[in-house]
Amino acid sequence: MQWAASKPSMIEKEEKILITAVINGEQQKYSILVDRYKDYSFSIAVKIIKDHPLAEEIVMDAFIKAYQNLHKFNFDSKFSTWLYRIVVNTTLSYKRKTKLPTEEIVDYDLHLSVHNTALEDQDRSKFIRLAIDKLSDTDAALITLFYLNECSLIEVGKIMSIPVSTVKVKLFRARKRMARMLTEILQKETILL
Amino acid sequence: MRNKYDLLIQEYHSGNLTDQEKLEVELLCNTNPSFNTLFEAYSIVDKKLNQELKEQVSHGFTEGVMNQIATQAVNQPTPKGINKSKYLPFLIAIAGAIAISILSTNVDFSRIQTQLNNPFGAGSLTLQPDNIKWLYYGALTIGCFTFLLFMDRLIMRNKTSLN
Repeated sequence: MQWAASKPSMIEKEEKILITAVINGEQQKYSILVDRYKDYSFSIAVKIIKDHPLAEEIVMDAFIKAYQNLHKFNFDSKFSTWLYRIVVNTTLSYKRKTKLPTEEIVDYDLHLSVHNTALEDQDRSKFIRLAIDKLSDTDAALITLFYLNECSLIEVGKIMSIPVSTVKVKLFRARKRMARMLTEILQKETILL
Repeated sequence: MRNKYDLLIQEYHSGNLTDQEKLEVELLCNTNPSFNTLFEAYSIVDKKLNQELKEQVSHGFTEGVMNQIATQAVNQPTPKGINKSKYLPFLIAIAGAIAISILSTNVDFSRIQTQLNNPFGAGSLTLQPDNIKWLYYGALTIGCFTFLLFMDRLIMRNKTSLN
């Protein structure tokens, strides 16, 4: 269990100094923020867009947007919350504009190297990834934001611009859907064997 | 009951419960076997999902972002503060209106009142000199403001077209 005690506030203080320095012209200090949040930002984007190279481009755009609008950041939330909101919005708006084709995961050909009847860890991972890929954009974003242990329910609500009570309900339903999808995937796998 | 437990465990892991509530959850784990099973299952799923969700960008991502910022002349975030040029036209319009009103002290508002009240001989309007005075100042202010706003937009449009 994570305790949001002294560590986040120290990071927030450090980030405030960094952000002020960037706004005052020390451009290179922005690379520290990019390094710190690039992987989590990418994780969020790739779970929505489901395309690694494209997700990297989108996250790059999001970081540049964040840089251009850094003077508008009021320090009333964590920098990561504000940044992830930009990442989610950029990814969702890109997806809406381009209307990327999606394929049904049910047609995904599972070639498994299963020995005996017990599932190996790597197969379990594959199933979890498949289940996440089947989720809607919002559910995928919610699950990613919450389960990366980076964001509390309040922060997820701020990032997705929805009330905390709605986040709780949506997360609960997303997990139930995932559980149902995992059951379907596992049942198909059993039939294939 | 299972659904309620699920939400409770979720809130426990999100760090949103008070210390008292956390103790109650831990007590439930010790006293209620089904709750305990669900709690442990959640923790395993939680860790597993956390592992599965983590992705990494390719090597050189940060350099790519910084290069784009440096070479493509991305606008530097501007420091916070009042943008004086934005409010300058308004200030000039107000100053202009005050200047013109001072210069208009010799205007005979009674004569204007007569003309306005009897545009075609028959009186239909009954405006007092004071009303006419304020209408006059108001019209001047709006006129100055509109003109300067137009000039400001014209100047800004020319500036952006040069970029």
